[in-house]
Amino acid sequence: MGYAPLHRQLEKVKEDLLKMAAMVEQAIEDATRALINRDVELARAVIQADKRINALENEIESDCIRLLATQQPVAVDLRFITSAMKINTFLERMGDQAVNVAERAQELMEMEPFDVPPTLYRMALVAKEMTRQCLDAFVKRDVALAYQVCARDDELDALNRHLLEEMIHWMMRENRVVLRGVELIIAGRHLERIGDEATNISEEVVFLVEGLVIRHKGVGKEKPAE
Amino acid sequence: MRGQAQQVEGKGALGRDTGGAMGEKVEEFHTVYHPKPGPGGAIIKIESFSLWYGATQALFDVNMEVERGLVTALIGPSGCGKSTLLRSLNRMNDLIEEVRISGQIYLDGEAIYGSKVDVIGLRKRMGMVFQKPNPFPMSIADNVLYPLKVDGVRDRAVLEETLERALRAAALWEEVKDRLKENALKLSGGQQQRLCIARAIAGDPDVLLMDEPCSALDPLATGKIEELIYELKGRYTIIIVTHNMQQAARVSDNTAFMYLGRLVEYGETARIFTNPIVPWTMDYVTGRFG
Repeated sequence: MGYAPLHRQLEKVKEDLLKMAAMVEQAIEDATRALINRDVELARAVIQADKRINALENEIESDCIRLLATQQPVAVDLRFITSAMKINTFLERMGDQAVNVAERAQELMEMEPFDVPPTLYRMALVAKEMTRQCLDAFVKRDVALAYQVCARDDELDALNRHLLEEMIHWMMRENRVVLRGVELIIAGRHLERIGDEATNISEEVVFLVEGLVIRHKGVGKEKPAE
Repeated sequence: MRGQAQQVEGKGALGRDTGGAMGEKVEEFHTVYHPKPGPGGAIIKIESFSLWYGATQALFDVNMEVERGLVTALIGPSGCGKSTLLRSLNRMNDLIEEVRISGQIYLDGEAIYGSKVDVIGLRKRMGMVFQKPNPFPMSIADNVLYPLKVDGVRDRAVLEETLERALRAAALWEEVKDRLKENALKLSGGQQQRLCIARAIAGDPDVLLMDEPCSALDPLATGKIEELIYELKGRYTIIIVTHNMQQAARVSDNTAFMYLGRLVEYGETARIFTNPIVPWTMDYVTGRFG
């Protein structure tokens, strides 16, 4: 039998992480939309909303520390709390990356209008989906889905390389676009980092469910053979 | 009253050289307070309470407010006075010869030490559960209904209603409902302890005093009692003395750390177990004490 209060409080941590993930997803979408549509208000809103993500990070962390100190969790409950603390940090960093994209959007609005490359749009879509999927995997304790997210990181990396090549070609053709090109490369880099954090979260899910560490072992891309 | 500092003469406030673990001598003694307030304010106020067993002083000027509806844990090494303080609350210490007290304790604003106080009535308002389960050698039903029968309650409907309510509240009803006439001593240790809690509840107290209620129980039975404490809080104010610090951490809202008869730190449990203010408390909860 378990101790009900602990399990109820673990549910609260889970719900808070989900809430945070939803906020991060929204931030990624809004930051990208602000960049594409040159929307000053939306970019500012993303930067503002990050304060709520940060506050939630603090709340989740102090809840986890309190549970560790007072409830002496063991086995899967212990793994849940240590994983939740890491996921908490990863999600907060993803929120920061969305803010970085919003700041690039603000810089680009100061410059001459141009067509945003579809590759960047595609990257934002993949980053957002990875964010949702890694949290789904966490909530459902779905290891297969976690491995899928790890695999999608390759897709995002490839898109990022593609964006870099496109920008280099663009800047080589017309050097008056260099500033815009550089801003877009940086924005792409931020989206790519979001994918890395989603991969980190997926690796935590595998640890949570199977007690198996797959970080830095080159097995993250596909489920290892039994 | 809160935060009041008291000067204590001599070598360190607690009568010993307080160097060592803390690395500094503390010449003054302050109780540090940071309890979590309950929704209903304080139910018990302990004011400048000291107690002597003959010539030996067991409690030194304890000031403390117990919050209504919350679980308060008393922790500290053996002989620190935590059980003495608990037993002072329902005047169980009156039963020991040569006990002398000073100060006062108030229950809902009424002084409990006074010649006109109805001590039996007071003990009914503060049900007590002991370290070892102590069911009476009679049936399960008679055990639970004992406080009512002492009061002369004869109404069958009232007795039956109370029996079921108390046993349900103590999470024992499902296990014993088909054998209420059986001797209580046939129950397991954990069941006997829950029966004692049911008996304490049957008298409809305001406060439940628990003196090491799990120390004679196995981990499963302990888990059930802890869960029960969680279920009962709110309806009752619970004060629990425990040697098991992890238990205090798990079940309580506020924790009072006592040492050598003094209240050292009284505050929110989460704070006591993550970042206590007094170095002695830190040493005790981290096992570095002594």
